[in-house]
Formats: sequence, structure tokens, C-alpha cells
Amino acid sequence: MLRLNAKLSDSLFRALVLAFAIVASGCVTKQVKQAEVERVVEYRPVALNEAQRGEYRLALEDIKQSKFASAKNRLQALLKALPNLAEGYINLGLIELKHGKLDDALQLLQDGLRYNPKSVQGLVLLAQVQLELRDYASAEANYIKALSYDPTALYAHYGLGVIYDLYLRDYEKAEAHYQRFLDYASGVESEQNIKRVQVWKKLLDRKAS
Amino acid sequence: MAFFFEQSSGAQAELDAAKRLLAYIESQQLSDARARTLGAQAALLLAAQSRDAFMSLDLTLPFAKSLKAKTKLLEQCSAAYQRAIAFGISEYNNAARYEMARIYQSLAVAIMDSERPEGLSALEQEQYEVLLEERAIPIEDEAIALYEQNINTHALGSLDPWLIESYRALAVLNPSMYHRPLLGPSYAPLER
Repeated sequence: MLRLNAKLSDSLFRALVLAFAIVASGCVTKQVKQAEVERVVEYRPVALNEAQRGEYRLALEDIKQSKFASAKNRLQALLKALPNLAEGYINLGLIELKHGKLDDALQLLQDGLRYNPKSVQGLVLLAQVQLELRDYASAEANYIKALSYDPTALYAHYGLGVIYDLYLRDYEKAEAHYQRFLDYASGVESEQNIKRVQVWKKLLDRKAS
Repeated sequence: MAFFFEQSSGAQAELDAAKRLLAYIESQQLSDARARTLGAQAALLLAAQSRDAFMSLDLTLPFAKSLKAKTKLLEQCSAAYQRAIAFGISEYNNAARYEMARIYQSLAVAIMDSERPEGLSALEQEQYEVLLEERAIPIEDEAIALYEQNINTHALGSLDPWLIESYRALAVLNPSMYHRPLLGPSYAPLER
């Protein structure tokens, strides 16, 4: 009888320990999740030393010259030392987008935006990937979010113009965004793209009729 | 009958089951959701047969004769896909319209790529090209109209593969209206 009681109390004790462990791990998970949320809300720029800044500049030069493998190596090395560097993920996402690896691009851009949710470039690139993946609703939302941080964001206006022109057939909004693009594009975008958007804007009248 | 259609394996068995099922649904005028879905599926399967026959027929000389044969097959395709559309299931309607558009598009291409008669002078060759174009353009317009009909029916966030393909086709057939290459930043500078 005593042995039975001892067995029971031992089982009870084990159950209690297990229950405590589960509750405690739940708290830890909760704390981690909360920390993640706070990290998203409170964006603090990552401090780069001079050498790291130099390396970042070289990575951007590589991207501009389409030396994507080299840019990728530099950015990945930087991210090893600075895992919170939002722009690192965003540029890696851009490289994957250029290679047509849309799922990888999506993941990297989302990673970057987790560290800096107000990155206009990150939001615009994410929307661009979503547009390629035919997820128009998310693309529209992210372009609009980008404009809430920077109302002059050229490519957000361009992307919204395309969405309203082609997929939502809201030609008034399309015209307004194409016009904003034209307002800000001079000297930034190629003449060819400016002319193209001018034509699309004119075509909206025909589409509306 | 529906069970045999869904479980049938092998192309011929599937086609036989589809024929019987479609005939039954139409003759009994069944209109519940399951009957309409199965009916549309069976109709699309059968229509694909007509489509394949149409696609495999080349336009050869004498042109008028082969064009007549191909046009006859086109009419069969049209009737076959209309049977699918009659069930009124949105996704299958999009599929049927897309396939019909593709058929028109391929006919226009076939006309332009058709065998040329030999022994024509340069001027005659040119006139022959113009004649072919006059035939092909209205057919291509039919294709565009069907693709457009598809994309004009959808709401945001509900693109099925047929609509996506319709957008792709329109971007090629009518680039000024539908080809919109995406633009974005070329890099992300440090934000500080």
C-alpha cells in the first residue's frame, strides 16, 4: 500500500514537473514572440563600422554592374556579422528577384522588412515580387504602405498604376498613379520608360470607354 | 455514372465515361452543383479532343480547301466548348474561353505560316501576304476578345490559371494595352 502510494506520488510529482515545464516553455515562447514583435515595432538602424560600410558600398557597386555572385558573397558575409541588417536581406532579395527566384526573393524581403518594416525599397520590392506571383491584393497593400512612408516613391506609383490599369480596372486611380510616376520620374527613370507610361496613361481613356 | 467518370483510368475509358455522363446530365437537365461541375469537366475533356484534332491539322495547298477543313474543326471546337460554358461554372468557363481563344490565335498564326504557292512574282507574293493578313487579323481579334472577356470577369485576388494565361497571351497579342513590365529600385541603400 505504502509502495503504491509512493508510486502514485512519484507519478504525480513527474506530472507536476512536466506541467511546469510545459507552462514555462510556453512563457519563454511567448517572451520570444513578444520580443520579435517589439523588434519589428522599434526599428533601430544597425551600426556599421568603416570596413563594413566599405564592404556594403562595394556590394551595391557589384549590383549596379550586375556582378550578382560577388554582391551576394559580400552581403552574406556582412549578414554573418550583422544579422539584423535589413538592407542586407533586401538587396539579397533583389538579387534573387533578378534571377527569377521569386520564392527566395519573397522570403529574403520579408526577413529584411522584419528588421526594418518601414524600408520603402523593401516594401516596393516585396510588392514587385508579389505582383510577379500574381498576388495583387498583397502587392497593392505593400505599395500603399510604401507610399505612406514616402509619398514620392516612384516605383510604388508605377506599380499601383499597373495594378489599377490591368487588374482592378480602376482607371481613375491608374491615371493618378501614372501621373505621379511621371511627376517624379524625370531625370531618374529612362526616357523610354517615361514615354511608355505617357502612352499607357493616354490608353486609359480608350479602356474606360 | 459519375463514379465511373471519376474513377476511370486510361484515356479511352475516361472519354467513354465522359461521353455517357455528359449525355445523361444534358438529357436529364440536371442542374445541381455536382452535376454541373461534372458536366463541365466532362465537356472540357471531350472538347480537348476536338482541340487536338484542330491543332494538328496544318494549312497546306490548296489553301482554300485546307482552310475550309480547319474552319470546320474550329466550329466543332466552338460547339464543344459551348457545352462546357452552358454549365455556368466560372472556373470552367474561363478554361473554355481560354482554350477557344488559343484556337483562334493558333488559326491566325497557321494562316500567316501557311504554305505559299510557288511561281509568284515579287508583287504577287506581296499581294498574297496582304490577303493572308486580311484573313488572319480578324481571327486574332476574336482571340483577343475572348481573352479580354476572361480578364474582364474576374475580381481581385481570384485569378485562376486560365486568367493568368489570358493575361500572358494578351501581353503578347496586344502589348500596348496589356504588356506592363515591372519596374523597381535597382538597389537598397543604407537607411541612416
